Amino acid sequence: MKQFKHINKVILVIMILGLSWLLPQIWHLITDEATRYPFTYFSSVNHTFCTLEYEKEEFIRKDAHGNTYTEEQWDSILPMFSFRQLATDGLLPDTLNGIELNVKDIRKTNYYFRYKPNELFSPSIPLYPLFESMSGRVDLEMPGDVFRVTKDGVAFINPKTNKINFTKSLRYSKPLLDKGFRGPAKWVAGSPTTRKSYDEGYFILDQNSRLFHFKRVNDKAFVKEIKIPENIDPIFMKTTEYGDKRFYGFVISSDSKLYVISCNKYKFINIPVHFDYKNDNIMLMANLFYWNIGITTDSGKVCYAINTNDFSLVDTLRYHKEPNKMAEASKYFLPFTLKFKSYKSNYIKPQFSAVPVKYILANLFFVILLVPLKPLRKRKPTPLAITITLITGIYGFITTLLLRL
Amino acid sequence: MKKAFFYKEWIKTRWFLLAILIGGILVEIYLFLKLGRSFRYAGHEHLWDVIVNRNQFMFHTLKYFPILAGLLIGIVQMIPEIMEKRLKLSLHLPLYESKTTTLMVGYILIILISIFIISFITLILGAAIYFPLEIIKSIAITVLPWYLCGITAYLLVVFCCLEPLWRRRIINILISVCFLGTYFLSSFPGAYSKNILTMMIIPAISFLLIYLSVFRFKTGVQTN
Repeated sequence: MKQFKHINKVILVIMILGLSWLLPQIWHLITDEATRYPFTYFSSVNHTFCTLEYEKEEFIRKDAHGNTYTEEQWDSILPMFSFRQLATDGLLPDTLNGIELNVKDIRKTNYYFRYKPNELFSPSIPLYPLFESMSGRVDLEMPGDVFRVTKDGVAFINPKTNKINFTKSLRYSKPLLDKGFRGPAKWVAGSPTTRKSYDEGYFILDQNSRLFHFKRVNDKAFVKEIKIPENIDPIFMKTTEYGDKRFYGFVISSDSKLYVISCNKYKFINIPVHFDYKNDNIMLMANLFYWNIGITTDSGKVCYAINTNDFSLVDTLRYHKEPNKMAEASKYFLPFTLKFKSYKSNYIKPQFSAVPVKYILANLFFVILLVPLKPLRKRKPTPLAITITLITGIYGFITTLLLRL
Repeated sequence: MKKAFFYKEWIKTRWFLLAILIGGILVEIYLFLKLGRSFRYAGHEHLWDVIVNRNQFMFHTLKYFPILAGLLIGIVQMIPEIMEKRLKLSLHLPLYESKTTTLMVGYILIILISIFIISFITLILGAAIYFPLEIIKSIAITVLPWYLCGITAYLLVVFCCLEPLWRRRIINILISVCFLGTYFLSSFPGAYSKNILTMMIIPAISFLLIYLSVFRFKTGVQTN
């Protein structure tokens, strides 16, 4: 039984790990503060970034040159953002930058796209409804079955019977296989909702990394292989189905580049923004003239104005994140952190992160503190207690104190 | 002697084990009745849609069954041992303490795991009537950590109960709460799919910890 005495060391490790999980969480609960960046939109009148900030209980409207604006002036310099208000007041200009303006066109080109890393790092169930994209009806209807992508193409399953419809599966698999598709899919992108104005089906990357556009047209399979440029390794795609019908969707490559697939010959067009797909959020607000893209990173936010027509970079604006002093202070006494959850992923996974050696002084302080706390421990600190505290700081200090090492 | 040992444990726990088995069956009957009603109300296609595209999980109620079962059986097995100091007698039998402990814990563990396997297989077979393989996989990977949690809960109750000192027992309870807490960090279906192995290590460590408590009990630790 004596050999089990050493399990005491396991307790030691468990407690240190437990504290490195709990203490940083508690510290975050106490110190976390929201980072708010001003709402930023590129003016298609002034051709400069305009910001809206809430300060001292009032809204401050400014442009990048420091000029301030009233609410009405703000509306007039951002007609693509405030078009509803301008149209209601009868102040919407007839033309802007040589283009005739009307509410219908503005609406069609005003859309949003959002990407968060947890969309990519998330468990999903690979079943998809294939809508009829040419039904002749205004609204899309649920198809009554779902499909899975298999080695042999696709298989349609009826939810009522939970059985495969082999005839339909064969009918839809054949055109895919004829085009050289090799399943199962690496990923499938599409928007499986009827709440969209039209349907473009799915984009499927096969085992040979060939991309296929797959949709249902008049109850027949439409399959088109899309040529992926050689230097692009697509790892994520989000289809758009926006009113202006210019693009099929946004693609993110393994080297963190953003592309759109154009409806014109499925061309891949690079959007000149810098981001890291594992960490950063993307928020795009498009309009007739500019795409306003905000990339939110751990260290701040970068706003890009991209020309809607040729996708050239027009301007950028950076916001640096104000460091949270209390959160920064934790680096001086919390030597490492164990985390299971992250807002960047929907998976639960243990992750260690150590901070640069800023905590060494704090660790020494805790070692010294072991001595006056002798009565609490009812014994002198052992060499093990000193070593553990020196290496793991506050975690080791609390552990050796509780275990009276 | 082993037979007598098992008989003692059987006498002590049989009704509670039966209650856990019946409890498990009742929970599953409830879950499938609720699922049937959802199908009637929402329709098969809509229900599949919310499961696949809106990350709804239909069997959340099951989450609490394994942990409650583990805690209950651990308490009914161990409380008499420590209240009436029966454990002292058991540890003085002509068997190694490690063997006595293994027999005592192993007996309940085998029965508890068997009940969980029955519950798990019933759930999967029942779900297979209504759902395709992809959804079944998602269900399996979502509920598996809950069953592991049940096993861990039992082992940690033993670990805490057998500890002779109250001061240390409180530390053990805190460790146990942290261990069990790791199984409930997310309700997102399949959230643990990349971490099942780590979640399997926790019951293994918990099993080891029991021997530390027994060692301390046997040696009559008075301080620390």
